[in-house]
Amino acid sequence: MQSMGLAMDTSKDGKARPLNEMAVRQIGKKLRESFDEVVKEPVPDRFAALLDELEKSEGQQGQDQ
Amino acid sequence: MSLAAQISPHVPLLRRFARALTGSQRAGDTYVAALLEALVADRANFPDLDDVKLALYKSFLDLWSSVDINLKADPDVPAEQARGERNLQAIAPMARQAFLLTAVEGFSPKQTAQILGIEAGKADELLEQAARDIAGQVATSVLIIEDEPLIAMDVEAMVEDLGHRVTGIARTHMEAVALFGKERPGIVLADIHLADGSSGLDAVNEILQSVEVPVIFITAYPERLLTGERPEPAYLVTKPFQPAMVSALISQALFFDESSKKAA
Repeated sequence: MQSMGLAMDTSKDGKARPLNEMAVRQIGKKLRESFDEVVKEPVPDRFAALLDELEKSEGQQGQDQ
Repeated sequence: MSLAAQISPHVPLLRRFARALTGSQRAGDTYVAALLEALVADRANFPDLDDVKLALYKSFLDLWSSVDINLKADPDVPAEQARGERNLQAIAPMARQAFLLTAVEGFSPKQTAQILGIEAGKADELLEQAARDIAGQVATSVLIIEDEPLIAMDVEAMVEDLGHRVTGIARTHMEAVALFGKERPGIVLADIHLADGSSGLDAVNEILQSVEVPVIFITAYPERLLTGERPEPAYLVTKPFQPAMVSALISQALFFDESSKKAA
């Protein structure tokens, strides 16, 4: 069964149209869920240490505001 | 409040973004750590934006685009990445940044433009490019199992509009199995109740005995799927359906489904 519908111009050159907004939103939502663990896990020690260091360096340089 | 205190609540979110952007947690964390080290050394370069979260993402991306920390040979990457994450890497870098900032991180297009240091209109262009890149990445071939000609034509037009190619339209269980055998599609769209009294579910079950392929069921009788047996209806659309919803499901199934990589 062949369709000669409006889709032909998109499939001929092998280029797809952009996804519709709903698809983009759903893919984003699912990706966000798949990264949930990363957000929930405690920040690894080296980041906490670096933030500490940043805090101290600010103290030494004096507050800007 | 100190800069450290202001940015620390956003660090977990930045790690997520960094992982999505780079493709691996290790590479992402390396960039986040490099950013913090750079701030410890000199925080004068921290962007002067009203919103510290925007400024944090902006400084992260400035670093990411200027320094190539070579982790491409990281052997952990392929094993760690799910299909969806691999597909992200196929989006052009600027478009990927814009897509992740809006779709995953929840920034508005305007905020995204601020973070990227571009005009608002340019952000919209990048988002459209990302949507196009994803569509191209998931483009595949589709077998339609549907006995009602008008619905079959609707579905066919819809999937072709998404850039997919239809391998055939089967009206019965037998036709479905035969068409699948002739050319293996990247995804199957299946009605449950077929005209000759046969079942699209049985057809799909028979197909899935030999190969893995993502399946989306389109049915007026969703309760017939709830039998607790294979295949589990991961994707189910109830008739009458909204075309936008079906096309979104197809794209989503192809973007995330592990089995689709073999077929496409």
